[in-house]
Amino acid sequence: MECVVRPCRAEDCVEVMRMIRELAEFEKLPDQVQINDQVLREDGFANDPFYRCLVAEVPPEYRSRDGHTIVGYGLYFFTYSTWKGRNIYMEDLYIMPEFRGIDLEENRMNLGSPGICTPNYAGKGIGKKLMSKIAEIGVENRCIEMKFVVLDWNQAAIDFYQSQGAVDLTAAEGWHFFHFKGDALVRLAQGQTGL
Amino acid sequence: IMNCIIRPCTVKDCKVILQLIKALGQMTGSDVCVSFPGPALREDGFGAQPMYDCYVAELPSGQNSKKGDSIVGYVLSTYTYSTWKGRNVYIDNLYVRPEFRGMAGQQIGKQLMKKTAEVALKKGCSQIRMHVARWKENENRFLTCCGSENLTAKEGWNLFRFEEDTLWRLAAHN
Repeated sequence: MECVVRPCRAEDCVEVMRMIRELAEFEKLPDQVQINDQVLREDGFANDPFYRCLVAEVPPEYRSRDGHTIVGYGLYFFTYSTWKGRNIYMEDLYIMPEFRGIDLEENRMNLGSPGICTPNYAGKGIGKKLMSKIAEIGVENRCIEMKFVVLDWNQAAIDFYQSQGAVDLTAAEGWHFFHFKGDALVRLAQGQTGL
Repeated sequence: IMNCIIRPCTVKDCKVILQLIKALGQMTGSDVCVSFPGPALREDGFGAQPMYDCYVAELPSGQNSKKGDSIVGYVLSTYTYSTWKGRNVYIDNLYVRPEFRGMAGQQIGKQLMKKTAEVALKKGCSQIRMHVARWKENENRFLTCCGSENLTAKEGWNLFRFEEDTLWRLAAHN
């Protein structure tokens, strides 16, 4: 089966937004999605884009059960460190469940259980192809590391990333992920915090 | 309260920031930042396509630190994105010279965070994110006091990394 990994175009935003919602559903946090395809389009295709995105596309004869030919995406951007210079950060990596566990080299489909990356075929599918392309872009842009976050209960994803050489820095070094949002962000901007 | 000036970093400030990085590296025993090339900080921040935003905390004129210069802290950030919430700011580095921390120092750190938040909101961002090591108790307490949430503790998000050699291997797959 052919699968093309290519840059997302403005008109792909509707499909990417569909998959963003599917991923949030899977991560058991669907109520947290607050943007729509119009916002995604504005923020990704203006003069100063906030992100970049790749999509995985299959030919029409391999379209999904619901008729989609865009079956995965990888969204990323660049960050910076005064210690290490430019970094690449993978915000989302998603493949529709019916397109996981595929061995692109041997052209076999749905090996093992759908949605599970079986050990023998880890690293031969669409997820690997997308992630490798993001890594290649990172290397081309002189990045020396790629970071991303994973939910600690998402064992299939953890197994996949670790099989490719990623290190869990939360487990290994105790790194934690903090954020300011909503009222807390406004209070910070107004200097009205607890200090 | 320390009457610091919070202002955008200029090309000339890069030299001092590099000294601060090196001092921090020597203090923590890390040799990563000592080998970081100086010019990249200038080129990357002030070239054709700036790769980061930086604000410095500067003592009012007439006051200098022990080392004789007036920059006592900085915050470096990038614009990033959440597929759930849209535009974000990511704080890569926040640093205040040790001798300026404590009660007065917390105000410098807070002032740098305040500036970052103001700029973030003006740019239509809905979140500021950052990663901090759990064992850095002062930094954790500071962030919590400022109003942040620990998403690793709250929702189970773990930070993963591909380091240079594994990143190259992954890239070579193509």
